Amino acid sequence: MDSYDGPNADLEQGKKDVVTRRVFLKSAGRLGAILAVGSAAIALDAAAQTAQMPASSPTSSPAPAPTLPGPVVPNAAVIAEKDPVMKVLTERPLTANVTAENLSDAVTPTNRLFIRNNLLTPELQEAGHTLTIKGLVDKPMTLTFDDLKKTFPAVTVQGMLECAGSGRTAFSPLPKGTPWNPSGGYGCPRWTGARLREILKAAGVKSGAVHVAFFGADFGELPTAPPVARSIPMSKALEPNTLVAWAINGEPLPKVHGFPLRMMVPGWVGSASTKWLVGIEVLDAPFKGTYMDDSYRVPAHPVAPGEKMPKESVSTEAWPVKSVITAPAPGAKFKIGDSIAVAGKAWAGENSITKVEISLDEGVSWTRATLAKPGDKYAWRLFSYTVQPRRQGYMTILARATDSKGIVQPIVATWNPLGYFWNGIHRVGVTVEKA
Amino acid sequence: MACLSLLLATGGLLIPPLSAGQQQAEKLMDAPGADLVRSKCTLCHDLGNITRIRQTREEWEDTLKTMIRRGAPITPADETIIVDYLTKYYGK
Repeated sequence: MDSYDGPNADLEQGKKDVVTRRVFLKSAGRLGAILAVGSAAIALDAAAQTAQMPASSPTSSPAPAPTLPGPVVPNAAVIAEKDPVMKVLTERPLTANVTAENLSDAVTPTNRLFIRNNLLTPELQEAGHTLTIKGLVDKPMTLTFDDLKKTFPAVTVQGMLECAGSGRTAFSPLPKGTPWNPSGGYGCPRWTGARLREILKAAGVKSGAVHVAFFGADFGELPTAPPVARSIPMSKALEPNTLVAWAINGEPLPKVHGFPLRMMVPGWVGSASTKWLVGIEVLDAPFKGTYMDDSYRVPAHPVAPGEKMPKESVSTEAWPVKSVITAPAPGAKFKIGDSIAVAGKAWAGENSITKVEISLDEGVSWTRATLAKPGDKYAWRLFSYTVQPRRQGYMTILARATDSKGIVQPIVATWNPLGYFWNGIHRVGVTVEKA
Repeated sequence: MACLSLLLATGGLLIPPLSAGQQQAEKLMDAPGADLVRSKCTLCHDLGNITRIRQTREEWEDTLKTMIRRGAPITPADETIIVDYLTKYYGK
């Protein structure tokens, strides 16, 4: 597997890359057969789905799985490493998450961190893995995984990772995309890696550089699938919490979370945090590609629900202010006189949290929750509140956060055609019984 | 290869079963064009990505164009059949 060409491939030149991969595979002989087993296992998922189709679809057999350019981790092996509370939302591409009440830990355990792939989960090796830095730099370079760890100081930060579409199913009408449940696809683990700015400093950024693009080694079923590549503005690339990360919660990254190397751009939409990182390119403009131009965009000016994306749109960057209630769980039962411990998390992209309020009357009145001490710049802020119910029956608990710019979490998020940035007020219902 | 993958699949590596809701979402309206949609679109994503939503013809056309940019092997002739099908059964 050492000669697997993914990590070293010139990822901008998709076609050339595909040719290289194919030539490699032809000469790989037995290895090719092993790789193809991975792809056949995936095709089997499709076959299983086909089996559920009505018998009146005579030609519904899945298309033959093309030969893949490298080994793939089967979805089932990915999910086997996760907590049983994790729910698979889509199998291809693989997406999975847990609901808010399962995210009560101050630091998100790795086995509860959401999964959002765009393509397949590549099986990469740490040995021989390289990271290429090129574009508008004085010294283009290719670093091995070991070089990277030895050359640059390791930094650990707790930071938010949240899919742009987190909470999408709360939008009405439902936009296209991963059907994240209203409590979303987000987590706040501890990440360890090198500061991107140190790497860029070593390479020497030339004048005229405005964006930095990241390239992942993941590939799709189709050899024609372009690489997942996106760019971020230089200001965010140089932000000290933006990391080229190799560890999560003190352990090597799990395969599905980008092993052996990924970007960590905390507070921004998850797609900025490219997994399976193999390339960094300094550019004089935002990267052009389908993952920049066709998705991860919102209208420049709000549109009515159900409208299509207008010509004027902007790339998604930092998340807006948001909070979730992690306790109690929806449907929990209490007795009159009990103390209900309400707890949750609030975060605000580039801003910090200044206030979280709780309402027990559907938003008519609000009372301040207690905020825990702030942690790292891009970590969520914990809040807590105690309720002693005096009446029996169904009761709702609402939380809303306010950030350092004075922006208050809205009742309903601004609708947009691709369903990004759901940050509507979270609401949990419980039942109070007689003492 | 099929035997090998079957072994893999029966070796405890199967994906958790789809929930009832997901299974519902995976069904395509059986009509001319459905087979084409199934064979082309599921190369990269679940059918649920289609069946969950409703779009106008223009929106489906845009979606197809994006998918082609993402490598979907869809010929112009296929594109017409697929857009017609999706507009008719998953239109708004």
